[in-house]
Amino acid sequence: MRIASNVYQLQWLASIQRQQADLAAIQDQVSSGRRISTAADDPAGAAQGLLLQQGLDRLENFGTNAETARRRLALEEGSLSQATDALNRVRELAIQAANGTQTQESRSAIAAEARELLTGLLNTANAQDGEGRYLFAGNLVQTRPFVLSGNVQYAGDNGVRSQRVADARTVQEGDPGSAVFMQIPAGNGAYTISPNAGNTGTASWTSATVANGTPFVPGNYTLEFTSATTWEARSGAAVIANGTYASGETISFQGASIEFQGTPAAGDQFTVASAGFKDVFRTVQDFIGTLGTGTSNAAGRTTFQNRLNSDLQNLDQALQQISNFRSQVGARLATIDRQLDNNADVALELKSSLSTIKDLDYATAISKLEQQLTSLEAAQKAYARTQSLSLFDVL
Amino acid sequence: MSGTITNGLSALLAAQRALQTTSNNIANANTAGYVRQRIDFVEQPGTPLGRITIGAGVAVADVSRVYDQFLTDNLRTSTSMEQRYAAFGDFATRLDTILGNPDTGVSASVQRFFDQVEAVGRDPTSVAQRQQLLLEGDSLATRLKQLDSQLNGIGNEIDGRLENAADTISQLAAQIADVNGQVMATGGNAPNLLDKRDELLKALGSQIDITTVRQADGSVNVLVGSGQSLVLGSRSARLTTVPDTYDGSRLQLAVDIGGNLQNISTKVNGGIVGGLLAFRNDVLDGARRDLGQLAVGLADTFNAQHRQGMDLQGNLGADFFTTTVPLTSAAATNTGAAVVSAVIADAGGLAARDYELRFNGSAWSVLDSQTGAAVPATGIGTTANPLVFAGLSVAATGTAAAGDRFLVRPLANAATDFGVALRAPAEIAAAAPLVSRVDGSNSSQATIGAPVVADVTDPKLRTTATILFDSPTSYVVFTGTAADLVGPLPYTSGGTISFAGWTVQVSGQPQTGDRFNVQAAAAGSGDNSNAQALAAVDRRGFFAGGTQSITDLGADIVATVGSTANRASNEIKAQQALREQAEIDLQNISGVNLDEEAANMLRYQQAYLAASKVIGVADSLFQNLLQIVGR
Repeated sequence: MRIASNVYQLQWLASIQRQQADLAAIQDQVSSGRRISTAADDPAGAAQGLLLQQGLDRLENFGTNAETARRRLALEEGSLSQATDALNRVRELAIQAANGTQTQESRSAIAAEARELLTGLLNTANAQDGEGRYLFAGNLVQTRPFVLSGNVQYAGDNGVRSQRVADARTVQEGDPGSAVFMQIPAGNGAYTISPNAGNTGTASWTSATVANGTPFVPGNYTLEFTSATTWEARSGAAVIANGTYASGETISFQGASIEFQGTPAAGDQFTVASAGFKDVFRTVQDFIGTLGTGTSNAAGRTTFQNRLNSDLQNLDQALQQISNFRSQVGARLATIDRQLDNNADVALELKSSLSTIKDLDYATAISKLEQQLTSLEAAQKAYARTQSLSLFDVL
Repeated sequence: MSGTITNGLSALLAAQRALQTTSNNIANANTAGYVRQRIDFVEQPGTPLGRITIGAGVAVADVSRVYDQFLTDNLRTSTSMEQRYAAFGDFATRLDTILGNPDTGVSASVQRFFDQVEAVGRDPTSVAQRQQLLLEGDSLATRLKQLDSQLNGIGNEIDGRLENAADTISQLAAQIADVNGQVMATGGNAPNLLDKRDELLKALGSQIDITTVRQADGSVNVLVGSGQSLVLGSRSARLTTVPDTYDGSRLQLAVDIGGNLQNISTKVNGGIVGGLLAFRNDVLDGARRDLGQLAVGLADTFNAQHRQGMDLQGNLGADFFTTTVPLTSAAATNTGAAVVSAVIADAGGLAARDYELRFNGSAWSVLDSQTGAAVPATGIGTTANPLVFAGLSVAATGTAAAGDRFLVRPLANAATDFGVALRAPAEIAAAAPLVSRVDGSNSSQATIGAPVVADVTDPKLRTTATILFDSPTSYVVFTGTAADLVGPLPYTSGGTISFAGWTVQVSGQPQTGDRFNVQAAAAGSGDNSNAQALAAVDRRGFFAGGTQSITDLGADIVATVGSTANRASNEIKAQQALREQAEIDLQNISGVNLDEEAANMLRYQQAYLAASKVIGVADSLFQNLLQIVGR
């Protein structure tokens, strides 16, 4: 085959240029450490890398969200723990007050302490985070939620805020004060017992439960002792149950089981009604009110005892409620920890996928680089050798 | 004796000519386009002497070009394709650098914006975070504008290059016509002119794909586009640029045949011009539309979610982003007075396409302007009953004439029109617009969930409504206005209660007289539920029938420009190899081999010496004869 002289050069030049371009590309990869510098290097990989990177960014966002939620939950937990301490002290005071040896003066002293505790409780419920936002105001974070004017009014709302800690998981980062401090079931949670103010006997209730297996039938009932040893329960004017009574016995009707002590006078009435809510402040205020009840006569002592029983019931409900919220907060913190662990695992996987797509395999790249250099050198030598061959040299 | 001298002389002359040809080959070994020449000898007719004939020397029959038409045409065509892909690839690489870089592309800006939405959700009452979100929105808008203007800049550069190419092509055509004239004058026998013309044709082919037709008189006619003559014998036409019929700011190519301009843009395939036009039509326009689609989609989905929320001042959310109006343009050739206007009816239904509207005298038809395929549309194109297709609603006012055409580019201005509409941080609607409340005097422990907005446009959405249980199993809903009273309706625990554009769930065992309120959330609400919904907008299926999210579209843009650049660079390599091979094939026939010429030189030198010797021998024979005779 005939070869034109300048074909040598043409071919050599083309091959050298190709090799140099390849060399430059590998060199670029090695110096940047990246397999993909623009999408053209691997279009599908670049698009996938983009989505992986966004996934990683999102996980980072979730991490920050989780830390924010954790910080706020820790503040809530602190406040709830303070509230628990205060309520426990109020309960101790209530037990103390129940002791028959107390005098009017010592009860006044207890009332004074209870008033201090009430103020403390109010401050706890009005706690703010470091940025001046109220923890228990629902979403009205700039409004002081609990205002004392006679009763305590709730000025917040019942909004709850949550933070997203994973694509399909949000964690509530607070509880509205209405749920924590206001909407506490009264009585035993199912019903409340209140003695008629005109009662003259000495019967006072000592325990009120819901009979096993028969839930309390919601409603408003009147329990009347028709004599010292008989009773009847009415819903409106209709008698729905009746029976006999002796001190220490339990009276049961409509799912309610109430144990009484003492001797009722004929006509003494107790109202048994479905329990609504009683806020914790009202409970403490009621207790303070109870402490002011005169106990100079038997009727007064009975009233005192009945009211104190209700107060203790309500305090227990409040403690139960706050303890429920504390365990929820704990569960949320645990959820956050678990989710963060999860997220870290996912992030690790994403990172390694991303690295496979984006990052250079140095071993391969360097050996490729060596190979390119060798073949470039060979091409140069070959050209020098062939170009030195010319018939004119020997003429 | 004289025969010997004549023979020697003819050999001497032939060898001299041969040496000249060889030396010309050696001299032009490196001249571009030079086709090596070969000398052909022929015997002179001999002198018959009875039964025998004595030879009468040698003559030069021809000095011919060693030439292969097929290989020459092949080189020109492959050069044309190589130049096409080189021009295409150049721009594809630039587009890839602009849009395909994972760190600086549009996706990174979108991600940063949504990261900040997330930050607002984390701390919804923080004015600093809200301010930052407005700034991130601004920088996203700026980034989109920058990218769009970079793409626009590429479009302008292509226009500039088309103008240059048109000039170059016109000049080359004129030169070819000139050479044609000279070739015709010399009867087609001037190797240097033929070499020159092949070079000019190759140069022309690298600008634009051409068809050549050889004529008997030695001239070559050159056709471009769909058969328009660029060179006809010794006459040439001019190639020029004309404004696009719809968009005066973009240029198209036309052949100027005696003042009659024929647009050939859609017919050009090869050469630099072919590459430029293909890039502009297939890639650049598409990339701009994709970017526009991203802008429109992002604005639309984000705005829709933003309107569902409530801002810090207690108002329902306004539009967060400004959005675009489709661009419509009438063809320059229209004779009617109709004006066409389009609005986006459904941003999710938009496709990254342009549409051509044609009026046939009675009805409108819609075509995809790239593919020419018919697009199904409903409506008749009036304001009352607009044409509705592909997420657009288009109406014409005024009277259109038959044959009138309009171009609708829904996304042409989308990237530049994209901006942040909100001005104050407090206007960011991070909160849910409604709250529910349990009445303090309720006698039960029934609870109410968070209200869900079903129809944000309901006029009574934010009027305080009360759900009152008139019995444990039924409820009424009312506002301050008696006419609004609904119910009593049966109640089931956890069942959905709907009223003025919202739904809510009450659970538990409410007692007669229990009340629950659903009312407007107060200003300054620290709720973040709408911010969380906003933060998820980028991953919500929106385009392509709800299968493609904003994030997906961003990744798609990167993949598209990347694979275009990638494919172009592979094409360049392939075409380069083809062109190199074509060049080598041609060179191997027509190129000079110096060793061959050296050998020829030796051969002709020897022939020359031998011929001289023949004359010398004849001379000495003659001298001897003279001496003998003279004695």
